[in-house]
Amino acid sequence: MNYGAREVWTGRFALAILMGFTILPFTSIFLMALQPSGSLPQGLSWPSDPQWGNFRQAFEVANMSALLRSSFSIVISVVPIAVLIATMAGFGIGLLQIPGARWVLFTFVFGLTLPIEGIILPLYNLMRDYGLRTRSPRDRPSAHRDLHALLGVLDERSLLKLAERVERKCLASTAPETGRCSVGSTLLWLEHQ
Amino acid sequence: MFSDPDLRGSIINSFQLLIFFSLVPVSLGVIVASVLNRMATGRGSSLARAIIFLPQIIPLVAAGIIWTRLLSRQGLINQMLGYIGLGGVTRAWLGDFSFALPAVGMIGVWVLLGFCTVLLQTGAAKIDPQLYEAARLDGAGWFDEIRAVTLPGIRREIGVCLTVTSIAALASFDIVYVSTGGGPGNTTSVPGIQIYYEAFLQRRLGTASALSITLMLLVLIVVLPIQRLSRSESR
Repeated sequence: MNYGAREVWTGRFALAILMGFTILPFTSIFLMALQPSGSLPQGLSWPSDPQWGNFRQAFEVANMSALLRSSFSIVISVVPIAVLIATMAGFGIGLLQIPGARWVLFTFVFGLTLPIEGIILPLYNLMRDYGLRTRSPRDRPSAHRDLHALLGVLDERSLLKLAERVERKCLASTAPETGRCSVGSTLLWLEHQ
Repeated sequence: MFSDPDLRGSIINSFQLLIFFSLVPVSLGVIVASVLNRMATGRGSSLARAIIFLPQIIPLVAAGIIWTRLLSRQGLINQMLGYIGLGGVTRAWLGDFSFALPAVGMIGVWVLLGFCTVLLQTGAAKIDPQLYEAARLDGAGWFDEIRAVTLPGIRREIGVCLTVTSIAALASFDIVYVSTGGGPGNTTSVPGIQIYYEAFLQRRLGTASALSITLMLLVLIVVLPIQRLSRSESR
């Protein structure tokens, strides 16, 4: 297909602007991460003394290695299972013409519409019943911490405790949400420290 | 629940967010997918696709944090507006009663555009190139091609995009919570935020649960017709 040179370059120019719009926030946050503590940089400028140690400090302060280990362990267990089951379900609904396929699909779409806050409420009660809420005197219980724990900011000990004490069925429903939100919730938690 | 103006307002806000989270990314996605498929080739196309998809791989919370900084009074967006002579319109976008919701919506556009583009481009790649050839021979321009060839060819993909982005709009929480917390006033409050406040701060679990169910029904009311339309017309 031949397009006029003007048409092609207009399209490419628009694409370049869009790419710039997409990448600008990443550039901004990256440059901000290299600034010395306490400074308030203006605009996009390379710092005179880039503080690469900020990354190391961030990992230490937030105990990121433990949080990432928890997230990783959930991801490697949840993702393959979810993909396998979804593939089988898609094959069954799409190609095998199973009876009631329409209703199964409807149920899946319905599941997709469940607001995470709606899932959190029953999980919140469930975790409270199992005594899995944060109870250490140092980390006094608060709504924020409870929510963050539910969203996935669980350290390994809590995770093992959860696995031991909650029924397998309950864990199966907790894990996908935990896995999906774990990284986001880590940042949410950090934001409020 | 319906007698509380705050809760009612949050539902109205979420429908306004539909424009930014759903209509804008899908419309832009169709155009970008078309440009990528027809005019950008080779490595350039792959690079553009990868960059535009980048916001999808970061958590929504991170997107909220980044954009909160960019949209602040001293942020980069205001500085850029100043450079091009629009210093008079600068403001704290997320703290402005009139512009906070559109500003949150713009974060949604940034996050969801990549998803829509990649999905729609995959659909557009399946369209027979001869259809474009025939359209060109009939004197169709680029926009006519999109209207007459691309749009009918990717109807199902558009249905999926609209479904996913509508759910993201109506059930949004992370971006709003991090960027505005529902403020200023209640101008950016959405049902997700209200559920959180009701359940975890006010300790009114009954109201929160009722709002959860209402939100679920609202999402279904929006999503099911989209599904039905995209499936029936693609047969």
